[in-house]
Amino acid sequence: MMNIFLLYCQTTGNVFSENNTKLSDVDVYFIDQDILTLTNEEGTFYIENETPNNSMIHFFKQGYSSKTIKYENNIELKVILEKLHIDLDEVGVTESYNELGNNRLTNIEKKSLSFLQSNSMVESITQLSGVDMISSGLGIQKVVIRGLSGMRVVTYLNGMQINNQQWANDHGIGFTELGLKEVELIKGSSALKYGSEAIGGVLYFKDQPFVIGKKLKGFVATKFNNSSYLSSNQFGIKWGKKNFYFNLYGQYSISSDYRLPNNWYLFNSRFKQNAIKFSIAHRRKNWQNTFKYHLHTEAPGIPGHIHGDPEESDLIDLTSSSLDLSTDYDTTRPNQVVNNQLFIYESSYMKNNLKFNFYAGHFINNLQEWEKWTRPAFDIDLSSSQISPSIRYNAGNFTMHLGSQINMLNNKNNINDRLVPDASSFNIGPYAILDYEKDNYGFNSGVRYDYKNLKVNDQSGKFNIDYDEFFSNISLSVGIYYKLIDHILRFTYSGAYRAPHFSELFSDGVHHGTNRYEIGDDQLKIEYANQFELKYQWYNDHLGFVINPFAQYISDFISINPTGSNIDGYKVYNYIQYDKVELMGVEMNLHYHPHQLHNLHLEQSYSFLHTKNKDDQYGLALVPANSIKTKALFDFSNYENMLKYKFDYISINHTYKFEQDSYAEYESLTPAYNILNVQLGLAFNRQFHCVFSLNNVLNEEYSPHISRVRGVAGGIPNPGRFFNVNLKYEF
Amino acid sequence: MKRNTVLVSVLIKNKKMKKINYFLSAITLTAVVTMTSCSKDDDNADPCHECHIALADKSETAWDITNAAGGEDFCGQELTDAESSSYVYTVTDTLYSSDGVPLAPGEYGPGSANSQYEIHCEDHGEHDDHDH
Repeated sequence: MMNIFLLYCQTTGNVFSENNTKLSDVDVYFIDQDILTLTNEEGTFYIENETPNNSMIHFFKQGYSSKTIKYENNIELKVILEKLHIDLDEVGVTESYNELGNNRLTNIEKKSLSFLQSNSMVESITQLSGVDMISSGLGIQKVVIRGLSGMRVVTYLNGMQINNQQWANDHGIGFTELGLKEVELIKGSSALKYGSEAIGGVLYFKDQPFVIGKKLKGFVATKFNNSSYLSSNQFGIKWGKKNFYFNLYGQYSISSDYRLPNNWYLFNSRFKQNAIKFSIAHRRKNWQNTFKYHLHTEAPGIPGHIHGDPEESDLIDLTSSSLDLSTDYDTTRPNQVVNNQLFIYESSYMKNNLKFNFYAGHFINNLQEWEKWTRPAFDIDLSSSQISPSIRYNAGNFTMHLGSQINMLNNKNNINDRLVPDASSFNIGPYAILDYEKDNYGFNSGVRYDYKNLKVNDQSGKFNIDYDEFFSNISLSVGIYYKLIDHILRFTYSGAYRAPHFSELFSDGVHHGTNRYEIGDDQLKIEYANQFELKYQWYNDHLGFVINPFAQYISDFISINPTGSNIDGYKVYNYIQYDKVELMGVEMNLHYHPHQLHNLHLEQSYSFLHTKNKDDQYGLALVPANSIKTKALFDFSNYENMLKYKFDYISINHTYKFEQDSYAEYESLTPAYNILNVQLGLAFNRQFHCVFSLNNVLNEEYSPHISRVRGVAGGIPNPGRFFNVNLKYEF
Repeated sequence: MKRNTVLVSVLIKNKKMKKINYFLSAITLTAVVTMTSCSKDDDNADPCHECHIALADKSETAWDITNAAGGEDFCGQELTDAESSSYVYTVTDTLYSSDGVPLAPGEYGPGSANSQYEIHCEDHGEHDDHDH
């Protein structure tokens, strides 16, 4: 009787290959429950609880096509995965589940995040075509999508919008890859569900799922490099039993100043990062509740800091000839101190064709920027709360998403010295999205209305502002796709808008992070964007090809430009608005897998972007140079001779960045350069892995066009040749 | 009998599991404590710093200054004062920057008539050994 009860309460199924072989170690991910399990040697999986009807389940195994199915409890679950020679998951060729929407109908790319295989999370995302980063070493890094960044790129962490004063280039992303599984990316303005303001794109970072199993699972990992003598350590523990699931992670990282190609060290490029996070979930039949907490603290130095004209400064004044590790890990001035806390509560209930979801999140960001030892230049608390109720309804080939996003934001200065004023905003954005899929074609359309009230009331003496303004508009997105044998064609149009941010309206003061005196303009209006995008994909057993042309037209584009004057020794920059700006480009991905050499994977991606500022003789600022990225990976899995020496794979990565001759008035031409990296993966056993990387093998001296310190001392170079060793032990 | 053996086996297994769990919990706790203890984000233990008069010209010319006792380090209240927006430093003998630029005797600092001369106490990279 007990056995019958247990069987009734279980969800079981089997996974096979095309030739009916049982497939073990297949990731079986219960999407709606955020639970991961694996198939056993018999190709069978089971979880102790009953799974609600219409729950989505995603099956994935490296080297096989992934598959997403809708669960029905009266039908035996038998899933067949096809063997793949090429794997273009990250550019959306194969079926995968995405938080940001249906990847067949929307152009969604994703990148798995690995502590083991990357130098940093943001660097790892830049492997995607059309994605670059603004950085000054490993301490401060932020993502640029198709030439747009800052307020135009909206970042979500587990569903919560991250507001961390992201308007400035020296304010990094605010968290690390700790406990994260992957990031999803929509380029351009088509992510209606996640806000109209994401004109540049949306990044959605997602945690590792919960696990089930009798044993506690977890890992310890460490990372070291000989450029900045980085030491980064992480641990994670996952536990799941019956209805209860728990994940816990921690990180401690410390880094000194990085070494330039000439063996000097960029003074104050050091940083420290600590983080701890946990997630708890409880399931009861069709109802699931999840709570997540994340604490992240960091203290990045601000390198390249100069009083005077940064362009005229000398590299020798900004560098050290050697490191003293007894003192050069210590925080020095100028630097930032960042404390971020994230609280998330999510509740979902599934019944028949409906899924109700309630999401509430609260994010607290404290940012202090210190130049003097005894008092900060500014100290700001930015808290944001988000409530997002939503309903998903499935009816045959249709899926309807209805919901609303309510955001409340409060910016408060803790001291009288300030760059931006105290401000608060309230935004409500109801949306409706309809997806239709049948056989080889489908379409989606969505509409969202946003209403934003921005209040700025700061009578601190530094400011005397009483501003109360409403912004509202409608955002739209339409997409169609058609699949014919191995050809997939997708077209998307999206229209969105972005209200000016209070920093753009009212900044007034020295910003040490950018070596500028910045002045806002309270007459700035809404920025409008329209984007057209085509994506064509074709693949067979050995070759995959993706071409993705796009055009985005932005009117009333908000930018910042020098005025030619100086205040307190800093150049003055004013926020201004350009009438019309065009961004056009094409991204291509090629993946070749020779039939004779099954273990060799050749990948190449091309990112070409052309921007035009119709209102100015100069181009736009911070537009990355065009690039070609090439990767050759050889996997030793079928080579006994190599496996006995624990070799897992070797990969060679080459990036060619073209000369950037389109630049803003205060920028200059950036020459072309080549970067070559080599990575060797070692597998001591199934649990213990090591990655050894040699970076910038050619010791190329280069300063990327969008480097934070490109305009300082003629362009402070990125790190010279260095190696890093990453180790991970899983239990 | 068989039932007893199974029971013992289960108990031993549970005991082993518990040991592993205790071990892992200890590792986690140690890691958390270590991280918490290291999480002071502004841990420069040295409360004293050298200061200089700085002219924010093209390359930021700097003249080293001394504290009230004639030493190099400014500590505590003296450091707070030196970094305040009303600080005045009196130069009695001509100072020379590292490039040999002279600074005539007089009052300098944000609270003085020569307020374009700032007082900076932040560190700079050590570049005495640079080989050009």
